[in-house]
Amino acid sequence: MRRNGLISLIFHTLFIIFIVAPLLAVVAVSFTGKGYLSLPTDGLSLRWFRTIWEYPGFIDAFWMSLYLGIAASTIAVAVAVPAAIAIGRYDFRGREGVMAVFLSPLMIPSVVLGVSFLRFFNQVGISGTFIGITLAHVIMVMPYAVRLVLASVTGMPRDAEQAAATLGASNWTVFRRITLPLILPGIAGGWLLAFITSFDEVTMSIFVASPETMTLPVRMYHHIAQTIDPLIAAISTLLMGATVLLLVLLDRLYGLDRVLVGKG
Amino acid sequence: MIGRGSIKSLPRSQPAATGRSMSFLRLKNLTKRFGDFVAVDDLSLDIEKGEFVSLLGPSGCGKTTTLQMIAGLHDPSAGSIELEGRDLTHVPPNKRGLGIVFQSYALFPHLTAFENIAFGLEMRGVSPGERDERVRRALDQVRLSAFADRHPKALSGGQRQRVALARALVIEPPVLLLDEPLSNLDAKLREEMQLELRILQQNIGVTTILVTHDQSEALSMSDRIVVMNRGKAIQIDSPLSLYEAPGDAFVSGFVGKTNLMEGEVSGPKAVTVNGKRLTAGHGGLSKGTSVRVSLRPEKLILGKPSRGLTGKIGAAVFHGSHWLYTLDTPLGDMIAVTPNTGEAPWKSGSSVSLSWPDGALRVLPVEAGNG
Amino acid sequence: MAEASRSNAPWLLSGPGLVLFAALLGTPLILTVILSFYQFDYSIGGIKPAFSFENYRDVLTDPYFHKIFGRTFGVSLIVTVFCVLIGAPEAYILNRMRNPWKSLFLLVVIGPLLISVIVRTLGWALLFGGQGGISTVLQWLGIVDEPVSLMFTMTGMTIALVHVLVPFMVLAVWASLQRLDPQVEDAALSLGASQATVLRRIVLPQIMPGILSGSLIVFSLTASAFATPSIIGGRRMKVVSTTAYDEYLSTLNWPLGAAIAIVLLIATAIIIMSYNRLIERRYARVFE
Repeated sequence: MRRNGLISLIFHTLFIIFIVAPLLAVVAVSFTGKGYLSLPTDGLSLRWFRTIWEYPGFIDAFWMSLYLGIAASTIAVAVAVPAAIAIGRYDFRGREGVMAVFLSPLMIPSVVLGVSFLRFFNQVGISGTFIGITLAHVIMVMPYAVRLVLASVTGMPRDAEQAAATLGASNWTVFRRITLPLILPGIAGGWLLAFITSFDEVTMSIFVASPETMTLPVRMYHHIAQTIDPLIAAISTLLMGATVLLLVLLDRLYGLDRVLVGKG
Repeated sequence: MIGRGSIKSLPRSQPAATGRSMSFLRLKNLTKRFGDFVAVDDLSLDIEKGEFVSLLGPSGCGKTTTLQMIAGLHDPSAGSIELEGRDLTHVPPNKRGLGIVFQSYALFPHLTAFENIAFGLEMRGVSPGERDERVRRALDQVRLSAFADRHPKALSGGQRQRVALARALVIEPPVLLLDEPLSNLDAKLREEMQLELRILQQNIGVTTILVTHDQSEALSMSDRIVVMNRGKAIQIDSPLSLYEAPGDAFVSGFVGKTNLMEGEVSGPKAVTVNGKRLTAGHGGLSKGTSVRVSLRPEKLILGKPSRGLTGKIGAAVFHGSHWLYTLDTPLGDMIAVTPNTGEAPWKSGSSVSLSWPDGALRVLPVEAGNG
Repeated sequence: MAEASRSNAPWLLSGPGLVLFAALLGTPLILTVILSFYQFDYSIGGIKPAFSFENYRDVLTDPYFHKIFGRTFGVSLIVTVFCVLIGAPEAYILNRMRNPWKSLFLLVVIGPLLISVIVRTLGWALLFGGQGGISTVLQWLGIVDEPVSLMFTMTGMTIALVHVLVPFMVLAVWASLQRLDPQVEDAALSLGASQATVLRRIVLPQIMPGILSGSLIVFSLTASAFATPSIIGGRRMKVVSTTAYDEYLSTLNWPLGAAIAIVLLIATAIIIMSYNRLIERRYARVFE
């Protein structure tokens, strides 16, 4: 009905340039054919994408991050579903407190989480193991899983369950046949957001990752700390491509703004 | 709500019933297109000072778009809007000075009832002292003085509605625009508000345009009704004429309930429906013309079976003040409404004679494309 | 909700999660607090389990740490202000757009949240360098004569952090705009308000809760940011997170690193809570 004025549109254009510029810079540099940082002025080259395969460290780190993300978000969602039902469905003393506990990793600086997990894993002797880093990531991504599942639990109509119960369904049947299908978008959205968060996490992981459990972002951080070259740009470009695919998937599945409100 | 002394005085100013000298608000060939879709199609309307006009029609008929063009929230694709001879067509909404009550009320949630009402005065640079006094008066007018400091969240639907009304009226607008203002209220409250709104409007004498899809609302409140369909004004008339003399089948079906029958002209003052010859004036249509015949259910008189037209009672539905019957008749299925006199109703399955006063049968043209 | 039950169903359902959090979050935090009171023995290069306030005294009195904490919270404040100044208007503009532009640009603006911080920071590192895009553009425009680098500067760090965090602000304001009745703006216009008055008096107060909660998120995430300050700020522009990291993995002085982390945690918590209190006091009345 109302349109944006000229000033608004100029502002918007500058804003979008600001958002996109660094991402485009990465993509542009990754297609260079030269051996150093430069724009691909004389034609696009896939040289640096081919070079990635000569660095098994990055390939291994990618698989590591993938397995870690899958494991952590699956465990987190499995724990988050009953918790979200408890919070969304029952009015009990301590409800707010339980919610605060599950959201607390958002409030604790990642560095604090990192040093704490490092100390703890050292003390119990699982430092540098896959189990250790997985458990750390479960805690880290739990708030996202809980939030999205909770949103779909509170958003679903109560009467469908009650109708099923009056039709003679047992509690378990009601859950399996009515509740679960209705909150499935929330579960799927929560899982994906948890996965992406785990896959991208650096700050906490940098403390707990050992050379054997080095995730991709941590490996990339260490690389950038040493040198910035077209190789790292190529890896970043691939990563962005994969994220865009996931983004589209997430949008189709759940509506991106709804998912990301969970992130905020 | 009504009855606590709210019917304060006789109307101060009556709509000018005589002489159509100069119209107060004039819509001339107003048209609005959204791409290929024509929302409002060449609408012309003259409204007099103090008049209460309703735009009535089903959803999507263009009535709200018309109102929004008058308010300045939509630019017309063609045509013009004049207020007291001044061209308003391209004046921005904040310079028109019209009072608008929105369907959602659109109260400012972060301001109290008082602050909501004061907003328009503040924009006009009215001094704080006068502002205060006028807001108090407006609150009093809608009987909300006790709720001045409440935020909209803490008010009931009816109260919010009245804050919205006071906010629109306090700026003393030349024209008050009401966009389905009562549609969010429950039935009982809606009826009370209809009466209250009408009395308030007559007391103040403000020219008012109401958009509604509720025909009973339009009938009970307006001086004139514009029936709209598919962007066009189908008929513009007083409520009574509209009801008694609908121009076509759409109007007769949309305004009030009716029994609509297909028939054809069979004589100078006769039509035939289902082989039955009925007396009805049709303004001299030629014999054999297809027509529709409309008979209001409350005009149908039921009596003991006699030699005339006889029907059979289907269901009898009690509505408190009246009975509604479904009938199986030689003219087709019909409904009849009779006042509740306290006596036992006609039983389902019983035979009744059917009759109606002269002139109750209205012959309507079969409109093209709708036949 | 409703089911005001005295049953233990909710505890059974949330039990596994709570146990997990107690074991894997509660315990590590307690261990870290204890560790922060221990001493690092440089002679043996190990941790001496002797209780003392030494580390906290260092962190709280040493001007070196003052500077780092001051820089961290200073940057957080500046980044938050910039995010409000550009994020809130952008959310409003996005909200006024029509589909498909609206969805498309919303995706462009908040989608980067799902792209690794490392990748986004790398982008700025490429643009900031002496041979980078910004330097080239500035030279071309004649604003500077020779290559300039924003790497390892406060300005560079701030720009990159605003980029990383502004989507959160857009999201928060966007969410509060969704609750705004679009007719309210029309109502204000019809009462004679100018476009600017509508923004200031009608829209702004209603999206204020969104701006405030967005500020909270941006501030706390900036205060604990690591990768961006580390890559763009480097050794020259150390912040709390990078300092703690260095104590842990370079100097190996874990107790001091733990103390730094705990001070960060407490300072952030205090800021968040007092800010929350402020928001609640101002807005609880109007918005439930």
